[in-house]
Amino acid sequence: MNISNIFVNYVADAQRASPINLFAARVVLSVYILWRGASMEIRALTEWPVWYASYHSFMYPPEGFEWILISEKYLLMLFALFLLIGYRTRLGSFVVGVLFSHLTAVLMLMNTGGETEQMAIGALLVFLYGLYCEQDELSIDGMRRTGQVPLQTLNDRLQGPNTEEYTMTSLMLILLTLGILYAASPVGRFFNPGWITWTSPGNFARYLLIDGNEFGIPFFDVLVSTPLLLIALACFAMILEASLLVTAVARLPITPVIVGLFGMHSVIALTMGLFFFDMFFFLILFFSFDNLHTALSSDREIDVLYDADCYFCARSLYPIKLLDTKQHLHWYTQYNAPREYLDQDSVTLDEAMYVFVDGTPYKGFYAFQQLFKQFPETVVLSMGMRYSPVARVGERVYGYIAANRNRYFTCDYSSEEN
Amino acid sequence: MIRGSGITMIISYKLIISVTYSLFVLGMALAYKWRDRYNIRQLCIVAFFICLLVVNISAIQVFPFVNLQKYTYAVDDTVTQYEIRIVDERGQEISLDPRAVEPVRPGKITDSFIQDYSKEQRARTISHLFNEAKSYRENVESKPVVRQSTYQFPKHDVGYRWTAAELSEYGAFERVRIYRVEKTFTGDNTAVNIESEVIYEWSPNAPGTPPD
Repeated sequence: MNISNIFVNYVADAQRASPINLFAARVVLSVYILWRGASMEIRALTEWPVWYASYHSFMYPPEGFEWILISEKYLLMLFALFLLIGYRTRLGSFVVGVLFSHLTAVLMLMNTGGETEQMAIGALLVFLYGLYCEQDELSIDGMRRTGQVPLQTLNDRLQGPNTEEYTMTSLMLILLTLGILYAASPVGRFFNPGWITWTSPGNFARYLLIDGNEFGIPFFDVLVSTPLLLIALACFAMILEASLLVTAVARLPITPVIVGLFGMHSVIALTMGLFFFDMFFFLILFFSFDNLHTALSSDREIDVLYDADCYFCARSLYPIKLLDTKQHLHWYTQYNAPREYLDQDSVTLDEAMYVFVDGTPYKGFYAFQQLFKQFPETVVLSMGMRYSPVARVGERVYGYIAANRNRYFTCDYSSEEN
Repeated sequence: MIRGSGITMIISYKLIISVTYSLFVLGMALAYKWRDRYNIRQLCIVAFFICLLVVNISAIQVFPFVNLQKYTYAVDDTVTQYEIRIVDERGQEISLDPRAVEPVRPGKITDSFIQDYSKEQRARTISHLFNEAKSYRENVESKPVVRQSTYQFPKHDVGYRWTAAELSEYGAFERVRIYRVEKTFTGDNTAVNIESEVIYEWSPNAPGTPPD
């Protein structure tokens, strides 16, 4: 993996060879919302006797209706779970965006400052994500959408090479949003107090000294008494903040900037306090999860044998195909599989799908276990499936679904068309 | 005169925020619903970035649009801060653990406390703070296997934190004191001279002393 591509500049290229980054971004945002939402203390919020930002008072429910806020919190958690699994993502994004922004606005009545501002940014990012959520293929919604794709097309996609490009417009918009937000600080300092005053060693040392060396950082005294080092750090911070937008728009690699911003927030956390923790979640959205996924995927070559006439089977296997960025899975049906596979007495495609690893066949539940073993996201699931109680239940569930797929799902495509 | 214009400003600011937030949610709803019609999605995105740019250049928060203009000021030679301490029955003082007054930041309490509060608001705030601190102390002293704050989203105002061992050295909480702390930077900004004085004291049985 090229080091300069650790983080992706989606303005330069919003298209990727795999939809994994959108899936990962959705998971990161959902986890952030779930954690933030679960940590909101609504009781304390409603009992505090005085408001500090009364201009947000219209956000607060009328007296006697404070239960609305508690309901909002639990609704937020529910829809954030929908968002996490990618079920009804558009509705989920909108509801999560509205509820999270509203609860943040109420929280701002008592807590104005960086923490609630970053929560408001989180709400904006969820809204932006949901605007183009139809591009998110690795989701429950993505699987549901395969129901509109003809069986022949699905078979062609499964058996053909991965040549599709996946557009990630929402990540491009999120990158521009964060670029503007970061660039605001140097712009503000230009007008007040002016860049020269702000980067003066005395001013920068005072920022550090106000709260003292709270965390006992080594060389703190050296840092605050070395003017050249202080000037360099101040200039570096300003350049970093301005660079995210500049590099994004100029279509340059953003990796050095993002790494620098992570470093800057870490230094602030160590010297002044944990003031930008939310930003770690937002910056990680640009990480090239797809490259990491490819690097961590297994190198095993696997032949997958499935029923080409079974619509349900093809739809179920499609997410696996999307995860196969190394293209180590080779897809066969009863019409084009090697004779040595089909001639085996134990192979009956009416009953289950199969995978062959080094010539060894795995059927149904165990075939999925082998497929899950292939990818870093599912390898833990695969390990769990090896335990006999799980395997016994899994076998029965697989057997039941396979035997009844015509009853519950569209399986025989030709009869459906007729 | 000043008070009047302040109120006018708050009312209009409140109006601006309420209108902006409502239009934002409405615009997003339209963009989500009619994403493929009339270029609504693109229009919504253009409006979004215009608002974001305006807010970030002007440094005015118009919710849900916020700006990240942080540390955009020069630090004076002397900085005034406030510190809340709880006093026990033996007169020992302990600094307030910020987690005791979630979701409020102690700095926000004291800044507003000094500048804007009426006598009645001060008494109500500190009375509530006192009860919250006592209840938080009980929670810490009960030594739960996992403290609630352990799995919660990390607070931005981390640092000082009460422990059961530290609290065991204190008697029952009796009063609250607010200190004004003046930090003066000396020696070419390599050292800080700190002076503090009590500006407010409150106990359930005694009236508060208003700040200067």
